[in-house]
Amino acid sequence: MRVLKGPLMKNKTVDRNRIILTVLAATSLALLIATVIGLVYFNNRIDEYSSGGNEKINQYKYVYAFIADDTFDTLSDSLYKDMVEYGKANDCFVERVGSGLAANYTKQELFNIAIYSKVDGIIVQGDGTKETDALIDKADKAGIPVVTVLTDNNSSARKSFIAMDDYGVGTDYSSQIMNIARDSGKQMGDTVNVLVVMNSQYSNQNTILSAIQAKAATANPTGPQIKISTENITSTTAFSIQESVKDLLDNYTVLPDVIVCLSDIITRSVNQCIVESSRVGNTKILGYYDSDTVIKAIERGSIQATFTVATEQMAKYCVDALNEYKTMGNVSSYFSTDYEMVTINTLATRQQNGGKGKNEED
Amino acid sequence: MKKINHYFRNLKMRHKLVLVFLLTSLASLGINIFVYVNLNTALYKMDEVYSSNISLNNISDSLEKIHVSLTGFLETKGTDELETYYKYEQEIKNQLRDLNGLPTDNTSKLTERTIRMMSENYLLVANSAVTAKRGRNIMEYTKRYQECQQLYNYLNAYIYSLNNEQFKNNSENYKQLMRSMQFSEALCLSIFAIVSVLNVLLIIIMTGRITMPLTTLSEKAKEISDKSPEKVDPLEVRYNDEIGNVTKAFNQMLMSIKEYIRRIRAQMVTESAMKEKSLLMENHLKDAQLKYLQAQINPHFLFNTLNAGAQLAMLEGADRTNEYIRNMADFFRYNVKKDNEVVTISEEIGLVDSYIYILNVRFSGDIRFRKVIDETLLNVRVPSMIIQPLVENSIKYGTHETEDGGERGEVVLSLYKKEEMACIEVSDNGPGMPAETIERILAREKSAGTEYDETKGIGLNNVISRLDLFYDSREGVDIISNEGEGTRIIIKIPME
Repeated sequence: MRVLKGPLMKNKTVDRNRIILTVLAATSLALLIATVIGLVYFNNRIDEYSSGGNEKINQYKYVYAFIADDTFDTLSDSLYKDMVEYGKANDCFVERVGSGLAANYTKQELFNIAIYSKVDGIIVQGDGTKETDALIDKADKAGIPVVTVLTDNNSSARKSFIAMDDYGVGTDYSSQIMNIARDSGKQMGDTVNVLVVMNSQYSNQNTILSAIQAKAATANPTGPQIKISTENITSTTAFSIQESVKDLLDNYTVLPDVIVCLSDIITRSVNQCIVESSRVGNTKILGYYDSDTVIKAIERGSIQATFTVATEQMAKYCVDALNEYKTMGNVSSYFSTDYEMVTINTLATRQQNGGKGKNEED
Repeated sequence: MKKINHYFRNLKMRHKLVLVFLLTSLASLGINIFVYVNLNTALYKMDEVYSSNISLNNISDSLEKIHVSLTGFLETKGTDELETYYKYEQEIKNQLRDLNGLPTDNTSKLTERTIRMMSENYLLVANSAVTAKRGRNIMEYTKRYQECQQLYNYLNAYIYSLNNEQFKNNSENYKQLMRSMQFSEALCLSIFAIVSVLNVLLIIIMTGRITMPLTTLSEKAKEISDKSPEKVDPLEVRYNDEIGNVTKAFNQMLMSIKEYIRRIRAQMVTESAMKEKSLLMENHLKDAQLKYLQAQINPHFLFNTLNAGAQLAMLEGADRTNEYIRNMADFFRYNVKKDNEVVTISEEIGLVDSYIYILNVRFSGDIRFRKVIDETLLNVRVPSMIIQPLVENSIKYGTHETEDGGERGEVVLSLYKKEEMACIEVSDNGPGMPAETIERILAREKSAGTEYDETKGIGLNNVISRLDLFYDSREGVDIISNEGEGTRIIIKIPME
C-alpha cells in the first residue's frame, strides 16, 4: 500500500474535503432552489383558491334571458345550448333564468325575475296566453325587447317570432298518417283511428292539429276513413306528464292505429308506455323532435317517424333578432326555421351526412 | 468572485470571524422571516376563502333588516323603522358594489349580477312604497309592497342558491388550500433545514479558510523542528491579515536561520583550514627540530661543553680557540633558543656569521663569503632558521666543486629592498642547479637525496615550506640558476 506523507498527503486531503464540501453545497443549493420554487408554486395555488379558483370568466356586451315552458324538455335544452354557443360568438350570453335555484318558479315568475334582473333581452317560448302577453308588455315597458320562439304570443309587444312552419309540420304528419292507412290494408268503410296527444296550452300544436284535421278531411274517398281524436295532457312537470300519458293509454284496450305526439316529452312517454306494455306493433307512433331516444326508437321500429327541428338555426335567429333590435331598434317580426321528417328510410342517409339525434340529457 | 476572495483575504481575522457569524445569523434570520411571512400570508388567505359567503350573508341580513323596517314603516309609519330603513338602504348599496354587475358566462358571477340588479330594483320599488306611504296612497304602497315582497322572495332564493353554490366551491377551495398549506409548511421546514445545513457548511468552509493558514504554519514549524531548516521551503503568504503577518515573519525567521547556518558553516570551514595550516606548520617545525636534534647529539650538552671549552681556552690565552668555540656556542644556542620564534633578519645574519666563522676555521678560511646588507632592513621580522640553511646549501653545492677542481667559490648574502619587499638573496658562483631540480623544488616536491642527505641540515625544501605556511603564499621564494653561472636563491619578505 502506498503511504502518502507530508505536503502531498495534505494536498490530497484538502482536495477531497473541498470536493465533498462543494458537492454538499451544490446539493443543498439545488434543494433550496427547488424548495423555493415549490413554495412559490404553492403560494400561487393558495392565491388562486383564496380568490375562488382559477376559472376563466368571459364578459359580454349583452345578457339575454331564455324562458322555456318545460325545463325538462329536450328540445328546449338543445335550443338553449345552441343559443349559448352562438351567443358567445356574438358578444352576448344567454342565461336560462331560474336554473340552479333551490325553488321552482312558474314561467310567469321567471319572466318577472328576468325583468327585475334587468337583462338586455328575453327569448321566451310563447304560449299565446294573456298572462304571457302582459309580461311581454311589462318587459317592453321596462325597455327589454322580447322575442318568442316555437310558439307565438302575437297579441303582445314581442319584437319577433322564430318557429317552424307549424302548418307544414301538420301537413307532413297527415301524409305519414295516409301512408300508414294505405299500408294497413284497411279498405273503404274501415276506420283508421288517430290519436293526437297534445298540451293544450301550446297554440302551435293547435295549428299542427288543424293542419292534420284539414288534410284528413280531404283524404282518399276510396280509402279507409281517418278518425282523429285528441287528448290534452294538462300536467306541467316531466313526471306528471309521463304518469298522465300512462293513464291515458291504459284506458285503451285497443290502441289507436296511429298516435301523433306533439311534444318531445309526450313522444318519449308514449313510446316508453307502449314498449313497457309489450304493445309495440299495435300502433304507429309519430313523434316530435329527433332526440336520441326517439331516433333509437325509430331504429327499433317502435316509432314510425318524427321530425327534426333545426335548433341551431332557431337559436341563431333568436340571438340575431335581439342583437339586431338592440343595434337597429327594429327587427323582422317572423323567422321561419327548417324542419325535416325522419323515418327509418331517411335515417341511414341522415346518419351518413353526419346528422345525429340530440341528447336529451344535454 | 475574485474580488470577493481578494477582499476576504485582506480582512482582519476578527472581521472575518464577525463576517462568518453575521452571514450565518442573517441567513437564519432571513429564513425565519421568510417562513413566518409565508405561513402568515397563507393563514390570512385561508381566512379569505369564505369571504364571499360572508358578504352574501351580510347582504341577506341587510336585506332582511331593510324589508322588516319597510314592513314596519308601512304598517305604523314609525320613524325608527324609517331610520333603520335608510340606514340599511345605504349599507346594502355599499355591499352591492362588491357584486358583479356585468354580463358574463360564469354562473356564480351571473347570479351575482341578478342579485345586484334585483336588489337595486327592490330599493327603487321600496322607495316608491315609502313615498306612497307618505302620500297616504294606500293602493299604491300596498301594490309596491307586494312587489317588494315578491322581489324579496326572489332575492332570498337567489342568495340562498348562490350561497350554497359558493359554499360548495369554497369548501373545495378550502380543502385544496389546506393541502397547499400542508405542502407549504413542509417546504418551509425543508428550507429551514437546508439553510441550517448551508449555514453549517458555510461555517466549516469559512472557519477552515481562516484556520487553514494557522494549521499550515503549525505544520511548517513542526517540519522545521523535525528536520534541517535548510530543507524547509518558505510558506506562501495568501492572506494579508494577522496570520499573513505571522507567516511573513516566520518566512523571514526561516531565511535568517538558513543564513546563520550558512555563515557558521563557512566559519567552521575557515577555522578548520586555519587549524590544518597551523598544524602543518607546527609539523614542519617539528620536522626541522627533529632534523636538528638528529644533527646535534645534544645541543644543550654540546653548548655547555663548548662554553666550558671557551672558558678553558680563554684561561690558557688561546684567543682564536676561544673565539672559535664561542662562535660554535652561539651557533648552537641560536638553534636551541630560536627554534620556534619569529626573529629579526639581523639575528638571522648573526647566525650566518657564526656558521661562516666555524666553516672558515674548519676549512682554513677557504670559504669566500661576502655580505651586501641594506641595514635599514635588519629589523624586519622573519621566521627563524631560514637564511643559514640557504647559505649552508650554497656552500655545499656552490663551492664544493671549485674547492676540489680549481677556483674557489664565493657565497654572497645580499639584503636589499625591492618593490616594498625585503629581499634576502644567497648567491654562489658554483656550477648552477639543474633546471629540473629548480622546477621540482619550486613545485614543493620532495625526493630522496639532495638537501637532506649527509649534512643533516635543514634543507631548502623545509625553508620554502615554512615560508609558504608563514606568509600563506607560494610567491616568496625564487631560484635563478644557469649552467655554470652559479645559483641565486631569493626570499622576498613583506615589509610590514
